[in-house]
Amino acid sequence: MNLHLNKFKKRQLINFFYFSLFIFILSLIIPAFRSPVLFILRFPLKILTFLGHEANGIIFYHLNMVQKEKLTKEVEFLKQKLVNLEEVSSENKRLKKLLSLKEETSYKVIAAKVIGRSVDSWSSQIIIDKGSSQGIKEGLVVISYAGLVGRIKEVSLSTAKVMLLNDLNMAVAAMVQRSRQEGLVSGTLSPNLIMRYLPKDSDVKISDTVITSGLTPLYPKGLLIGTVVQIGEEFSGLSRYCIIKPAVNLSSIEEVLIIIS
Amino acid sequence: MICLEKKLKKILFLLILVIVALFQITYLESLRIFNVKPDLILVLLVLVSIYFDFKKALVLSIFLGFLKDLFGVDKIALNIPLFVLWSYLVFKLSRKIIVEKNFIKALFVFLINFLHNIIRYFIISFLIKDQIPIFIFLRILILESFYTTLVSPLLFMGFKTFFYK
Repeated sequence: MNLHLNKFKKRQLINFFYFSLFIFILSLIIPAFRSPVLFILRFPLKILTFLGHEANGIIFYHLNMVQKEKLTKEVEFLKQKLVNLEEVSSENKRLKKLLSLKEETSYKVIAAKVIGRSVDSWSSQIIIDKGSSQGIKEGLVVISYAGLVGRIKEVSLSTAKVMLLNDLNMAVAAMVQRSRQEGLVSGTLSPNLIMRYLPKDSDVKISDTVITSGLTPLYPKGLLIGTVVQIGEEFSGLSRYCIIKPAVNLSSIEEVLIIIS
Repeated sequence: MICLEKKLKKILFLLILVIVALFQITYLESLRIFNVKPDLILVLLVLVSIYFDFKKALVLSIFLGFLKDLFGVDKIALNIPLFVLWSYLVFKLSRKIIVEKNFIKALFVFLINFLHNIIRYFIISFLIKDQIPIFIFLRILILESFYTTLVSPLLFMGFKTFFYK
């Protein structure tokens, strides 16, 4: 009787060991499965995103109408401003030539649509409908017309995961446009970002614009990150930090541009 | 005929699990409160562990963990082993406590969500070395646990309707 019980327990232990081993191996190999499964799921994701977009349009019809009127006025104003800027730009070009500066080429970008978002609250990411077959590679910078969005984290054949600016693992070398004060912008998993490592006597003011500093080769210099909304002092009292409102509304972004060169 | 109907229902149920996971990464984004959204996949895990037999619950917990890991960016698929563990825990607890009332089920959801996030935090912090600041961790831990618990009765109702009507 005792022998039988021991045998049963032994068999149970062996089964438990094999099951644990199976789960452990599964945990290690699952990341490799992401790419093909996402490739299959991209169509239902596209359909769901499209339906959501259309439903949004119907539900917020009135809001959209009011916004359209407001934006039309803004477009008129911006058109006027663009004319002035073109003038400044041509003047800038002339002056650069005079200074024999190497003219920077504009970025080559690929447009992509957002088809999915983070699965939980612990990361901030989006899934886009362009992948390695369209020339997307891991580490490429993602922007929108408003400013910096994030970086490509994972690439499959026809989709890619983008780590957004407000993810905890993001860190971008940045500077305050007005005072050229440099710092490090990172995510907080909230709608705002934090800029750290600012000296105690740093020249930062509320409403200052923050751009990429180009200190790390990953991010080109001059990409708009956001504006300063709050300034504080670190616990140590040795440095300051500031809270930045991103230029891009990361929670409702629908289209992005990937800088490929 | 009945066998075929049962098989179809099983396939339909798996399809519903996939659809809920797709909802999690699409429409649920607009339901974020303080940048936190409910974890519907975890609610489904609690439900299958309560209502199904142990083998089925185990297989479904692996499937749900797979779905969650699929859309995540973690270097190791942490959700599969954790989901198996929670499934076992819920299965054992639900056989000792009467879980018919939604309140008890919601309590299970809260407990599992809380434990899941704490364990995940420790694994990520100490094994993968991705540091999450403690204030951000506490904010998401508390808000997500409450939010998921509040939303869970909707899924309880849907689950009951699917299996008992």
